[in-house]
Amino acid sequence: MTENLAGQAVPVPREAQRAAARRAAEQRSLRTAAWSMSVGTWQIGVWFWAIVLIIAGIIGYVEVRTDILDGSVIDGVVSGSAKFFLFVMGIITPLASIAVHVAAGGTRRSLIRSTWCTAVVLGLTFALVAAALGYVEWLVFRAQGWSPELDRAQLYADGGQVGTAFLVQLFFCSVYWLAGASIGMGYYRLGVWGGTFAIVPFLLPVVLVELAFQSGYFGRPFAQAVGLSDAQVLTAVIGGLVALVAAAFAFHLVTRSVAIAPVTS
Amino acid sequence: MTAPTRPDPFGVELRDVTLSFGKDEKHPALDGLSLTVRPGTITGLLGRNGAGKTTALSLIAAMRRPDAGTVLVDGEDPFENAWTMAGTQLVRESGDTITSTKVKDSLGYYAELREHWDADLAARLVDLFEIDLRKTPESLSRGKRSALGAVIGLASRAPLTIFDEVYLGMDAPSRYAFYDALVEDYTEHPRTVVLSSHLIDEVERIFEDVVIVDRGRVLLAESVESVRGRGVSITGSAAVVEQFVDGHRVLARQRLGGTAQVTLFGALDDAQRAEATAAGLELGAVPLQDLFVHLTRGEQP
Repeated sequence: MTENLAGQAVPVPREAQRAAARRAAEQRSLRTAAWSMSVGTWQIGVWFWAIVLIIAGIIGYVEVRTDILDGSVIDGVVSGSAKFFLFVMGIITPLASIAVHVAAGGTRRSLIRSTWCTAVVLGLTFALVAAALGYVEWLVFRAQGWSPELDRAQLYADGGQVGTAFLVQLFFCSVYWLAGASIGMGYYRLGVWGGTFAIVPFLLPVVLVELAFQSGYFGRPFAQAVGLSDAQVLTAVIGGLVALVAAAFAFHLVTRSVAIAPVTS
Repeated sequence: MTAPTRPDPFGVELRDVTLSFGKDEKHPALDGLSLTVRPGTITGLLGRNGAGKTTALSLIAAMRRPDAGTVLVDGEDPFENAWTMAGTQLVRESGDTITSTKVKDSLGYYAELREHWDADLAARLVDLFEIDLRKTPESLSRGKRSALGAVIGLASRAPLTIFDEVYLGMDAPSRYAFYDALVEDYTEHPRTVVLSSHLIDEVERIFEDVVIVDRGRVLLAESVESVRGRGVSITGSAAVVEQFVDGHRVLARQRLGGTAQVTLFGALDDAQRAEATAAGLELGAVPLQDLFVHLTRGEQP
């Protein structure tokens, strides 16, 4: 019941009530799943960052002591591995959530959207940490008189270009998470053989984002191998957006009508 | 801020539903199954292993789609339907949980999604069943996992709550505690409950309606009273009983010394009842289990 201007109770049509309830349920389940997946990934992500920072510290210490330090350690060891961590978490996390999500009354649609949101949230936060660490390292290197230049990154020359570093990590982390999510859901839906065959198409967005940004261990050699010239920020972002949309669409396709098997333990 | 209005109990209707797994179309899990669950009742869904109970329930809860036929929950197709899915709670055996994190995380997930979740009831039941919230679901014993499923189903207060063999692994005291909690909560908060179980003797007392499924089809769907009226038990002197039941369809025979109890399929008319009483025989209701065994042994009513 609602009230009209005269303060009289006016019955709300049944369909309107249901439409409002549907919207509320979708928003509730989207918010819950996105929060659960983001926090769940970050709970393990804290350990990831701690471990790779320790490894980077050890490598940096050894390189300084042996006088072979020739550029950023953070960029390769820390930032470069964040996308692979998120790829693995992308395989695990939506897969671990889907049965409980649907059993708790959420739709597949809301899980798909929450996975998209989580990809962006993780992309933003991981990129922020990676860019911040790169910037701190750049400051330290400058203060020490060491060369902060990167030998593999292509869109930015060093950690001082914090905005571009953030942009690169944002697209990598988001696309890798979604590609992992599609692969995990592919196995859940298609079984061992079908899931294995589906890996190739699900990895296409990863290939695209690596080609577009030409950064890191794979991107630049890969782009050079297919004859692409140096990347520009604008074309890289466009390519990254296409990869992101493709990865999101692939996850939608594989999840939208998947049968939900019971959780067994 | 007022508490959300609780929706009315959901009804369920399946019409000519067919579903096969893989390419085994010769042996469909559901073979033209049609059934109706009245809103606001406790309905028992009975059937032998592989009869199609779990498959039918998973369609109602939108866990999968049928190959053909119509599934309606509260008058709507439930698949990817935010209204009906938010109002339907299916507990499959031990419940669907996040196995790798603590029990309290799974309960927290349900509490966030379920608009009518009763946290106090959940806490009371967790205490009653002695479930350790700090453990992961996969580290709980089978019985405790099933009890966790019972907690989820009861605390959800969903307009349609379905328990699919939720008793597995639970000891007798826990099972009876669950049945009591179910009836108490159902009385205070009416909703539609579907209970699938093999322990018919234990649960028939709480059923209002019964659906018996066999080989993907519904054999019988009636109120419990009506089902019980399909048979009669006759107790008395063995010789007199045997003489009386001659020519009737006998479902079960028990004998202790000179006394016999025979269960017949089919109701007796008034004249037959009078004859039995005059012969000193005692007439009684038929255990649902006996009828179930008879109906699913391959014979048709």
